[in-house]
Amino acid sequence: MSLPGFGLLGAAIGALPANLPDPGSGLVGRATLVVVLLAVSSAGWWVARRRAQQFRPVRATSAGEESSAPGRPGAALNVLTATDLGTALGTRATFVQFSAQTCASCPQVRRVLSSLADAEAGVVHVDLASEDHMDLVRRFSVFRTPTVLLLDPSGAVHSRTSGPLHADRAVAALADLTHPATWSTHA
Amino acid sequence: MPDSPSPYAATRTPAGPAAPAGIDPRGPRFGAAVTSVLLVITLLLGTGPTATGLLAVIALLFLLGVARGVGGTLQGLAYKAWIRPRLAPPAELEDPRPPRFAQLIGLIVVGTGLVLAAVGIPSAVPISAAVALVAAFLNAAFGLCLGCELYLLLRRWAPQH
Repeated sequence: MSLPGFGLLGAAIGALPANLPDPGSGLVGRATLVVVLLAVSSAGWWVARRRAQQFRPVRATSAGEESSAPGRPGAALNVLTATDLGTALGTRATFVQFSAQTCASCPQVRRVLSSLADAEAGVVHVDLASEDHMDLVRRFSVFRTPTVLLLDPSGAVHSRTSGPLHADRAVAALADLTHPATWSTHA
Repeated sequence: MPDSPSPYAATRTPAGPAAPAGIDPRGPRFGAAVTSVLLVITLLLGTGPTATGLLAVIALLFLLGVARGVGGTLQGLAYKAWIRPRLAPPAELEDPRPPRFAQLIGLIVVGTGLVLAAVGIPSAVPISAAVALVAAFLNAAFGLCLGCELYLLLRRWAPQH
């Protein structure tokens, strides 16, 4: 679900064995397959990137849980507490970044979010090593790094994104959290 | 984005304990481009001893990458000697661990193909070459490290401790 592009890539790879081992296709046939393989890979990457770029809204599990959750770990699935994070929540918003040792674009996302947190009052950036927080990784269905959750002041997950992050997208997501009217996200 | 004022902005500590010194991110991409070309040649050769031999050479290149990091592969050394001096300094440095992990994934994919070919499944050579080509090509063309993306999935499957 979080990996639409990889589904496409998988389909591309899965489609191959039917054609590839055919020795009768000759050099031209094999060259055609190589070109198709590269084209499908590029298309899969493009689709995956387009989907991952945006902060997507996260539905609250139920309206009642949000108010009662903070301070009680496990009370609501989509609420993160200061105890979970090991640091205080931002009074306006908290960006929770899931990083890993083997994460190529994590430093880029870290720079974008930490400079945003430095510039905006009440905004906190928390960078978690996924290896040390596998419980949160499972609870929030994190499948790749970097994944970023945007929390409202109560710790409820408002929206999320993954992959390389453009600073404009982070600013827009923050603006939407503060002034929901500017972006209709009642999905 | 003008969000990295310093040309060597990787001074902020990456996640995890004691992150090693950063590397030029264009090095692994150049290496992936060379690997892609070799894999395309392997695919064009189809099945047979020549294709299997070339895939074995590629496996050795991956093995070097796993053992010594991407900077220690033949492509990495070629990049340092001939390409890097002709380029401007990199905009930012990269943690060397993700591409090294991806080299391991590449070695597993290509190695599986070689083992299956050795036990009598010749089509394993082009199939594993095709899988490796997707990853190497995406890395060279777009900078996407597909092998790195597998890391968290593997960690999720591992038992909780």
